[in-house]
Amino acid sequence: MLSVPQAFTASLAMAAVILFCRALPFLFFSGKKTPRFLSFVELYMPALAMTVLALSPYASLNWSEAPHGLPEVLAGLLVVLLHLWKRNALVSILGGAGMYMVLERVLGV
Amino acid sequence: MEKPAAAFSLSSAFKSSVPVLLGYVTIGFGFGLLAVNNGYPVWLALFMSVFVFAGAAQYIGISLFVAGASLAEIVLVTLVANIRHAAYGLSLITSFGAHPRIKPYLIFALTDETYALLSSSKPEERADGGFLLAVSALNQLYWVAGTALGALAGSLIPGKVQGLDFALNALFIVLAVEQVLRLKKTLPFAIAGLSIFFAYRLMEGSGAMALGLIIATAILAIYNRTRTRQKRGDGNA
Repeated sequence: MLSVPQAFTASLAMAAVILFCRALPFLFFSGKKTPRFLSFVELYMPALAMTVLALSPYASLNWSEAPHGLPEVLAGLLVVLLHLWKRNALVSILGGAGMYMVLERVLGV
Repeated sequence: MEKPAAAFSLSSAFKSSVPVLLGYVTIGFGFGLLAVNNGYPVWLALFMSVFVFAGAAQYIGISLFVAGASLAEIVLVTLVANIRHAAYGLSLITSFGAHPRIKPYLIFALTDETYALLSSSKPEERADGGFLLAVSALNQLYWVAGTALGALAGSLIPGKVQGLDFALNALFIVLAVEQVLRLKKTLPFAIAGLSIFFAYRLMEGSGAMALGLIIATAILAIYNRTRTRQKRGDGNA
């Protein structure tokens, strides 16, 4: 875990990187035509980034150790189902987190 | 019509920002709570919401801090996860260019949600500097206010709440499901899913996250390219 000063430095770096991303088109393009690669990025990057973020905890899970990723998998499925059903982010997140806390307590060692 | 122009801009900006109000206060609340729950001070959470001001990136930031990621990894992941913002400005170059005094702030504050509001606003609103500034500043106000509330709530709860980390994962799952519904395609998600599992075979932690995203982007870009080529070829045949 990063210390508070390290996290602060990292936050400054993040702020600079994000400002750079947002300023990029204003620095380099005149505004008439979208470069092909950027329209590809605009269309697909959110999908790729969110999938990678959502699945990262599963990819790093230790399946052979009890409870074999069961809380993560079941709570994750609940989030997907709740979201397809209600399409309310708050309901899906609270439902999934609640389910996870319960399962971890029941199945946890 | 009797109202001064600035008040008019503010009231129409407020009206169009209401959908973001609820979302930003809740997601900002979650961010503040997560940051403090992981042992970071309230001021750092607020600092990030004021100066980083990027929803998902701030959440990712906290998980990278907790994982003890290196500065280079943090920069790389932030860059890859936010490069899409470079595409947003393209459609706003002309309208932002008309207001050079507020342009730096407008660019700084161009989040996904602000972009969505501005790019779908009426042409006369988009030409109005007061409207552009009010939408951007109101959205940031909601975000910072949510963060403050969440961080305070987090500092009132003694110790670490077990399982709260899953809320962050749940948020990413929700955002991924939203993307599936938006794109109505499965291939990008399959590629990203396989890439991330593959990346964790090669390395651990935040490095794997960045690697997974890079592999997925490369595969999809190559696939897209060959397909456009093929289509063109078919057209000629």
